Amino acid sequence: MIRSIDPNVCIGCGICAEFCPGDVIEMNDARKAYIAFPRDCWTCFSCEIACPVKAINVHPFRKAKPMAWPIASPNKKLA
Amino acid sequence: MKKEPSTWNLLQSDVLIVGGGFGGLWAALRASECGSSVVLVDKSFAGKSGHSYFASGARMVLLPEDSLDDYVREITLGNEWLIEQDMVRAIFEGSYARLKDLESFGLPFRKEAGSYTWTRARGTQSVKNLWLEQGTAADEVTILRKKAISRGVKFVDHVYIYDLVKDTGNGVAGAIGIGVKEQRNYLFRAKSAILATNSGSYRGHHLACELQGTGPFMAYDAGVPIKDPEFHYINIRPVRHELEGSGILPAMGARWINGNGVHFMETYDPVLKDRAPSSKIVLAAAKEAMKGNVPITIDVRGMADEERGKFRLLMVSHGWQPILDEKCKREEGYDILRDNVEWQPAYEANKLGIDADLGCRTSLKGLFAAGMARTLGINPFTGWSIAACTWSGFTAGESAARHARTSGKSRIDFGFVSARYETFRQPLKKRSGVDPDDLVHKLQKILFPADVLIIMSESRLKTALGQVLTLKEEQLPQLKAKETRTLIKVKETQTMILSAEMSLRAALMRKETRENIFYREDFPHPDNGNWLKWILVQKDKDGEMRFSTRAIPFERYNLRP
Repeated sequence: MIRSIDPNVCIGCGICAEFCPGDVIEMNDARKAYIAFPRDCWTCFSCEIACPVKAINVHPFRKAKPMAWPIASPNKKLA
Repeated sequence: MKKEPSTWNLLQSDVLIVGGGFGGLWAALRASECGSSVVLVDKSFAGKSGHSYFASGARMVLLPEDSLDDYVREITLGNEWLIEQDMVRAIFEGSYARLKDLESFGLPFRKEAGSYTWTRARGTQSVKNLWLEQGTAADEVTILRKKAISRGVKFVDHVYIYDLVKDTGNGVAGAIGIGVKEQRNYLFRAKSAILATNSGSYRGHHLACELQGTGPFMAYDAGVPIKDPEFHYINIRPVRHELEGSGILPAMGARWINGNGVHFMETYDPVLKDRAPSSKIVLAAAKEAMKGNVPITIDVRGMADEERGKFRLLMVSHGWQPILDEKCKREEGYDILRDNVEWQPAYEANKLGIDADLGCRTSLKGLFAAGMARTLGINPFTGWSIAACTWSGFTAGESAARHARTSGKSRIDFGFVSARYETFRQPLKKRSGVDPDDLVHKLQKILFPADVLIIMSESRLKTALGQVLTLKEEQLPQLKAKETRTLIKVKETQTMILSAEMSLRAALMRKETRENIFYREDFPHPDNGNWLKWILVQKDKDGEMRFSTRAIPFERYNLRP
């Protein structure tokens, strides 16, 4: 899930807000991108890839969802 | 509408297209080429959203030297007879011309010594997948959007369509929507409308599955039959993150393994083994899990370094995989190509869609269906979806343009618009109630366990249906929203409950198993005597779900069981 947009790096171009497929990012009054709806993030990395100044950081894990069976080994590599 | 006219944007065109993936973009290109004015509306940014943008880009193509009959036979058998053979034929007949179109748009496909290079579509002997010389489906849809703009197509991004608008003469006259970012109302007036929204999902585990396509459910609401409600597309993925590769990794030396260290696909498919179609792997993994042999994983430890190198070079989807690879290593302490992590079934999409003819026309005058919003078969062969969405978009665009040329100005039923607008906004008026995200979570808990939609049985389907009906009766009317964004989620949640009910009821009807596409453990064999049929569901006069079956018209087809 998206975890940060660095306002000190953001140049206010708005590309992330335009391209985010879940419309999760918005621009604030100071023309800086911010994460408006974090729980709707698709974890698609589109924003991180599109950002021309690398201001955005997406964590690779998607939000937890009900699974087909109980997770045996959450988040860890298997022995 | 009459109450707040100043808040409405009105847009007019010959053809309105809802959805900006392969289906919608090809429809826009073809309808504009046929002389229609076209408006394309997308709830996100057309060409950057939806399943198309996140696809790897494999495209099935029938090259001039290939046998059309072979292609049609393999796709028909992969769908265990339950596919429109004339549609399969049409998809491949047009596939080479579309390839040439793409090349003329500046999208060359991979060649060696003047001949196209290809990979064989998994689960087939002869069907070829072609790949862009550079880039993925994301690059393709980006170029298609640019091309459509150059042909005069008007794009309206970040507007959610929630209802079709009927003509006073009982056809379609357009659609109504609301701005996702700016809270304006939109009325689209058109002679023809094409729904290309994809099918539904339940916000599953796959990368693009947060997307809920509303199109089929708007069509259902307008009285159009929905086909194939009992089928789903379920893939398999790491439990916590995305990774393309359930098909590619086994081709590169990785093998499915259960918690006891057994490479179980040797038992389930002694011929194809780890290279079996995804549906078979998902079913086998679920059976292993039901026996307690968890965790299931794809064993990457034995892969050769050369294969790992090749996998890292593969530009799957739109370029996120190298970032994920690097972050898992740096932050989570594992290498996706050296360390095993747990995998589980990942719900991807409903396979239900709008019932349409070979011209992608629906039963409602002026309404057409394209992309996965139209039924395009059940087996998700690699490369099939892009080929089928391209065909249906192109075809729907042509049919919609023809319809627009021959019909007069549509007469909007403003009373209808007003009523639908009020219905849509109803959840804003509630002071207390249910949050749509919470209701979706409850629905996921009912549907995602492996013994509900993967390993089906009458008793469990009935239990799940009972739970869904309880949500429908007790929670659905209580959904509330404070702002537009949640209002849209309310509508999407309503469509998810609708599709869950349709799907479970239809799955109860189909008392048989077709192992590539549908598994009922209480009826473990195909029943060609009774079930060479499609299930359709339509809303009747009283608003109730009416199910029917349609015999597959083998008298019109070349291939028969």
